[in-house]
Amino acid sequence: MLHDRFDQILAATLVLILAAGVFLLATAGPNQGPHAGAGNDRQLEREIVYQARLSFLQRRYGPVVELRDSGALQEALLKLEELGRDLPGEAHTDLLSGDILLRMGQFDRALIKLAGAVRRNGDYIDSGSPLNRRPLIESAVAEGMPLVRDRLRAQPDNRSLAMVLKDGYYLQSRLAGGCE
Amino acid sequence: MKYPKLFKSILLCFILALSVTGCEQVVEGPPLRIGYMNCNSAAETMQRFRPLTAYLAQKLGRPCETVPVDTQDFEERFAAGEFDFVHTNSLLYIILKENHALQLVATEQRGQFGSRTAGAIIVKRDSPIQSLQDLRGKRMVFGPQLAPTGYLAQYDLMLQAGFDPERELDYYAIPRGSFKHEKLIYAVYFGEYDVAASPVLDLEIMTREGKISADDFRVLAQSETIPYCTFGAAKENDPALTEKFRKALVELTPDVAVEIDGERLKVLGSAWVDGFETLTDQDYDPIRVMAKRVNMPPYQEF
Repeated sequence: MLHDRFDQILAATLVLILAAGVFLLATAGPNQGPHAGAGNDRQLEREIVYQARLSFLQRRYGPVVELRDSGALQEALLKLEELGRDLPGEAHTDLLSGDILLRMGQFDRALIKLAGAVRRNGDYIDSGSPLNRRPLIESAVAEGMPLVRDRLRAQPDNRSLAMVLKDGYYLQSRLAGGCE
Repeated sequence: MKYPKLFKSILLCFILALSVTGCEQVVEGPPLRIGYMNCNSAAETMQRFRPLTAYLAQKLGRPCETVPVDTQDFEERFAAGEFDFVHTNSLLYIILKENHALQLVATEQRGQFGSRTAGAIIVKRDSPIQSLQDLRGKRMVFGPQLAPTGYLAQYDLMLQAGFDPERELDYYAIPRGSFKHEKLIYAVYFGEYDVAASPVLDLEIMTREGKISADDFRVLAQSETIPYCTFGAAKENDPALTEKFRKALVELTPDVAVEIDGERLKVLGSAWVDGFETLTDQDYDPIRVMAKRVNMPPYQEF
């Protein structure tokens, strides 16, 4: 079978590779089974991503929060406009806009922004999440909805207000535990 | 014989369906003239509002004409019966309402406050000016005199704070030519003036466009929010036509497009508008109160 030296070298290499494969299979197997390991890895990855997101949000939106807390509400809104250039569609921009507009007494605009934030990221109404902002959203709904309803009663054909009301109902439903 | 009859019925249904979905409303009759207040130039007004006018013509089934109008000429031209509908700032709406019974149709939505906006008094971030009282002896730049959030709101804010701009400022001016609001923001940025009367919407747009940074300025005072630019109808209009016009505006969504010079253009995007909302005339009362306090038209007394 092994006619010349080249055949012999090939056969020896093949045997060596097979032996190495068997050795690796025998020694590298995890104790808890492959599925448990992968699960742990995924959970760890999720946790790392979540922590990274939190730290990212704190770093990028920190100046907005500082302006808001010092009462510079318009400057805070402008800072959000600026951030919107780098982070278009980021739910946290909508969340903070809603927060600031609520403080400015712009209830209808606040409801629109907060509904947009919750649609993009359900963590804002998850009591167990570090991003939970339920008190803010509850107060926007509690203060804003009666005003929107009153205005809509006086102007039943105001489509923009009807859309705000729909956003308010969406928030109410999510706060009550309803799904998307 | 049964099948040809069925075939004919299907063909008839197909033709009917085509006639309903395939054709736009016929545009005929005497043209409606829509006067649009110039923001910067007549050319810009035409570019912004031609698609909206074309859309309205389709919806109303009447030819419509876009007419750019200088703010200062608006009342005289409206009084002369030049326009069936007008698009003006909210102070001009009140002037035309009080003096010529203009009917409120719909209010434009744009920016963070939707159908409302505000006026701000701004200084550079590192300015030593901390309050309106610190403006004594300073140089201030305002927007055009008929601008609700570029002049009226800020003048009123100062009067409300017990500060008389006529006596206590060292000097104040209004920029010449177009892009007045941008010019006054830059005038403070480059140190030509100490303080400016800026519409909040312009600050917002310039920040979004990267022309200025949010860190460049400090807001010294800001007015309450008041209605933004407004569509009105001449009192002689058929109420059904005005209602159709209003409905066409509030039904507009960002994806609606029309063909202009062989190009499909988004109606709202071209006009720099987010949408339209129906407000009530009472929503404009804060502007009336400001105009009375500042002694401005239509309540000016000599």
